[in-house]
Amino acid sequence: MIKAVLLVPTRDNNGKAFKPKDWAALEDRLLQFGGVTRGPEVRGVWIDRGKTYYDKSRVYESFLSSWADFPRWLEIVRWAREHFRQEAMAIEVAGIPDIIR
Amino acid sequence: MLETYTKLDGTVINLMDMPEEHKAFLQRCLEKYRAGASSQELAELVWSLENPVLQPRPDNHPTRGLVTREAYYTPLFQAVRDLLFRAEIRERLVEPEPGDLVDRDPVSDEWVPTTEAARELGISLPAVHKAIDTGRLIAKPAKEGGKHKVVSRNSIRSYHIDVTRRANGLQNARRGSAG
Repeated sequence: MIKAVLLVPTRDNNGKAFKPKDWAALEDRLLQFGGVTRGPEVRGVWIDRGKTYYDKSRVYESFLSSWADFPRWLEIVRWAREHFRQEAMAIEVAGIPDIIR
Repeated sequence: MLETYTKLDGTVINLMDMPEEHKAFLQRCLEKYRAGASSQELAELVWSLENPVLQPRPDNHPTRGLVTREAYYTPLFQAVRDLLFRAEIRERLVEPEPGDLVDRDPVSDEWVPTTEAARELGISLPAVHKAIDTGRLIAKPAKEGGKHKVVSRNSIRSYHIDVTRRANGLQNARRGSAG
């Protein structure tokens, strides 16, 4: 079992919050790995090209049954980056953190 | 008494056949929401193992549960997820859609006779009964053990919106094929 964690900021870079249907669409996609769980919100600070972003993110945890599921999960991360209008997404897979741009 | 739950988008969930354990959990979430609990507090409850439709996580987390696809689309999870969206809207963490029923109590409803439902919807009485049988309208006996039924007004509104959307979709499709 491989734990895959996705952090999704609650606002885009212009400070705009998302609609219920955006979150429901993400959760529906993450359900394909046998289920999904949501952890407590986390606060973070990003510095990108000299600009500092302060954000609050939601933590979604999935449990992949095999590394063969990883590309499908990563597709969801890329979809979420576009859909939630982010420059990058923070992830952690099997305890290893990374940033997906 | 919990009989119906009306989601932000007007979709009505029938709670009358829901197991008592599920009703009790929904009631707990409602009380927390009404008491002004933060969305974080409510999220911790909704996504916890105390939620009867959630199951233990593969990593055996002591409090947080896993929601499967089957559980996600149960009436209970759909209702408590909607309640959580309401708490998040209250804190401006989520933006409502135009027309979302943000200010309406999700569990308040009124019950009207089938004849009134037929009149309001502009359909025949047999059509109302057919919609009840197929679950598109929510109804209950007017009196315990009685034959006559009363219909949820929220489900009438939802049916009306649904019919209007379908009609508009059909009209747009016709326009598209004509052009």
